[in-house]
Amino acid sequence: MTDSNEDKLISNETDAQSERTRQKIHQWLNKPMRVSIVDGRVLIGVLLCTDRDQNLILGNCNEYIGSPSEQEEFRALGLALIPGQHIQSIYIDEGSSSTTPHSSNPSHTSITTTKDHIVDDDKSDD
Amino acid sequence: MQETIGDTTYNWTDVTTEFADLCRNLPVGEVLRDEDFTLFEAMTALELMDPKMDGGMSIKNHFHEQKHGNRTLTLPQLIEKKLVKTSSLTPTELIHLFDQLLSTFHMWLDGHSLALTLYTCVYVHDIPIIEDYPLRTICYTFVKLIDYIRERILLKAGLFEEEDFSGTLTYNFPFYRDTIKDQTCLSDLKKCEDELNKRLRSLKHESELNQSEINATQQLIHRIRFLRLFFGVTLRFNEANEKTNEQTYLNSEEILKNLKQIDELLLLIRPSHVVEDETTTSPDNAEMIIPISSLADIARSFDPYYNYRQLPPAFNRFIRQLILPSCVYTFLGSICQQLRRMLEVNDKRTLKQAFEFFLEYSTNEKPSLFIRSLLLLSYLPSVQGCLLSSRKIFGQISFAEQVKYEMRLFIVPPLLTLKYIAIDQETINYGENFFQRACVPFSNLFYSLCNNRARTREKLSNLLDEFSVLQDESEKLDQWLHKYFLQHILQANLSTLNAQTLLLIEKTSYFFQFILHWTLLIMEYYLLMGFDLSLYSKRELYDVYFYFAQIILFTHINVYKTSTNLLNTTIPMLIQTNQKHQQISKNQTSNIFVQQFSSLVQQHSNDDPLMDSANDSNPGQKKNKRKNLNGLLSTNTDHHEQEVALIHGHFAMSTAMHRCLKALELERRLRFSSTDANYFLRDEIRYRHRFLPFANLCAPPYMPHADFLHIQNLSDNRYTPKELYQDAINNFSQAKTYFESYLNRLTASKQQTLNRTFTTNFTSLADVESYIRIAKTNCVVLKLLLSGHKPEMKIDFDFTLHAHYPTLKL
Repeated sequence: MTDSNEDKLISNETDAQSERTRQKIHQWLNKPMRVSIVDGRVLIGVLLCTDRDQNLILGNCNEYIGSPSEQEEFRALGLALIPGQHIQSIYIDEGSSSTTPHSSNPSHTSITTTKDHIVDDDKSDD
Repeated sequence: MQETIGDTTYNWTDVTTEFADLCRNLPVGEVLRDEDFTLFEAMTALELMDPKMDGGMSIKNHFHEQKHGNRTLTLPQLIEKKLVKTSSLTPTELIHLFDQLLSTFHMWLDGHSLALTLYTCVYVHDIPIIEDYPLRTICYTFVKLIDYIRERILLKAGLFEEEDFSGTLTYNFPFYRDTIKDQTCLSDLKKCEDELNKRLRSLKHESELNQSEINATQQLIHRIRFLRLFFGVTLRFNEANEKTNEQTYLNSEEILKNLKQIDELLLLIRPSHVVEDETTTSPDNAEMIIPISSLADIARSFDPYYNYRQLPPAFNRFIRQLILPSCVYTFLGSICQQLRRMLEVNDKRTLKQAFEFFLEYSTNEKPSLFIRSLLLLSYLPSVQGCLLSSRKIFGQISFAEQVKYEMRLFIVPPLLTLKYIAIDQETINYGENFFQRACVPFSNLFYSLCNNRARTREKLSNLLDEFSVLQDESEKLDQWLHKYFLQHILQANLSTLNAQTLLLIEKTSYFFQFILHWTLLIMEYYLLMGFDLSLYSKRELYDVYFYFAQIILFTHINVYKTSTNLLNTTIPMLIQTNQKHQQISKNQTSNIFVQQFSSLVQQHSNDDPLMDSANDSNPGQKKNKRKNLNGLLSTNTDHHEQEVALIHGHFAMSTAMHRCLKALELERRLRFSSTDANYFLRDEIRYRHRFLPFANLCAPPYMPHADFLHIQNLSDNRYTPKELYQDAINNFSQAKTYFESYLNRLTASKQQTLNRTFTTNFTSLADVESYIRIAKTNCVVLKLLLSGHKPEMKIDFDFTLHAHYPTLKL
């Protein structure tokens, strides 16, 4: 996690690029996403959160083995975190209007980034 | 691409590379999320591809099969398809099944869910259709055994954490409660055993001896007998009389007898071991080798995926392998041993003894949930619809009575010792009320001690709040009684009384002292547990030792002084008074409180401080040699002697510790430096956190950090390191002396060999021996430091000898 000071060191150009990125990805938030991971499972859920390493958090996530359309059974996981390193492919259904309880007014939500301050609760004394 | 899943049709666009590129542009550590989605929620997400959290990882094969139409078959279906047999099973097959079921039982006790242990056996799902009588009986018994343990023992004791044991989740599995009763199982097992014995005899008389079949049958008989005895033993715990629903008390003799029989059986049983290769043999014939080919007919009797669909999504999907039978039998042997040890609780007749036993047992045996539950239920059996505090000890003694008896032993209040005084109704009510209320925290104390150690510590801190309320109550009661007794004594013709003794009785707050004593015990144990659990960091050691010594132990020493003084001074007078009025009152005890625990007093008349037997005419002159509660010879003036010796020892050790810690700090020999930069590393914050549980008590009063700093100055800071070192050395030597004299007293009295775990309050013999070693070592190190040895060298603390006090290491 970064120190807030580092922000000021980033050049303007990279800043602009990040901004564009944020906007683009933000469009995809709350949309249904289909992720297949390296061991062959397919996870379908609503994209809620992501980061630089492509770690994804999917809401209302269902897990299918093999092809989802042929599966009668699936496992309902709820909230699932998929580590970026295990992702094989990502599909997004851009056209869908949000069926999730989250708000469907993406243009009005401000892009908030989270830099969490970690409290250094160290118990060791060295 | 388009895809229809269920009711929804999705139009998927491949964004794999685009997404990856975009994400790379994000700064490190930045997380992109919707406004409404907080990081706190994100924490609750299941992490996939993590072996612990992701159950779906391992079931690929299973789903493969499911896809190809091989659905999980139920028992009737399996029987129909002739994939599993349910009649005329060979002894070898039965042995294998038995050992597997026993293994699932072990895993269930360890905390795995029913769905993944017992109920992965297909037979258990539909027992009535099994034709084979032994198999049917064995299956019923296992189900009943688990059901009984779950319902009557684990759930009733309520000592488990959610993650350790899922008590209420039964997945609608059949438990056959109406079909078959516990006692029926026992008699069925006996029948099986008898039949098999007959068969064995006939086998032995055959012309051509089939040795393997004989062995197998013999082993099967052992197993069935073992199951019968084990189930029988389990049923005796927390047994409820069906008609009256009252608790039957524990018949520990029967149980011990059965445990002995079980031990003998366990020696005879050879755990089975399934092998692929027919030629392997067990090295010392300790195990029974079963070639896998002979189990062909029952190959599908266990299916790990049987209950797959019923498991909650976040659950473990299956257990890879059941525990080997040899390990299971060893485990059962150790359970029996622990049970035997645990039954010693039945000898503990006072709260103090029981307290010491619980502490000792949890420290040394490190019991599992099952045994802990049994311990609690042996001491305080559960009663339908009753609170913990209204349970009877051993199902016999009312808790309030026990508390009163305990108080009488500790501090001989006139209210509980003068037999022939008449007490008015109001005082009786006040007194009864107090004792009833006292039952709640005291019974909670024993409940707390049966949890796992971390939870115990947590519960103890909550308990201190309850005790602080009790302290207030006790003060009020003392005030009331003070007035009452003044009146009563003035009225009564008690001219034989020594005026000084009278004054002493007047001045003493009996109830307050009693509650304070127990509060201090809990506080001490709480702090010491912090050491056991390695909770304190080096920077906190000074605070802890200082608080422990100067506030807690100091107060406790005074409490013991008061109590000893009272016991020595007032007992003769109390006995005299009782004797004087005995004739007049025609031996009718009018004191209602004394009446209540008169049976307890009679049972333990040797231990009673007021041993008022008829021949004890002049107690002042004779020094009666009597055995105190621990069976050690002592004289009348030796009340609490062991406890006092130990407390002084601890006091000296802790004082020495905080003095030398201060000296080390002044000489800058400690390895850490305190910074205020981080909130959680600040001394004040840490101090508050550590001693927060003590904040509500009225005695000993909580010392806020500011006062603590002030007192530090007075006590330690104004001395030079050399002076502090010297004082520490003195204190360590003193501690050594106290502990050694304690040991000497114990070993000198003509006592059978004291086992190492003999505990007084919270200190065992083994502890004391370690303390002595630590004190010696520290003396040596401190003498070196005193002489200025290696001034630049920093000191380290080594807790390996004992968790409570470190040895200093250069």
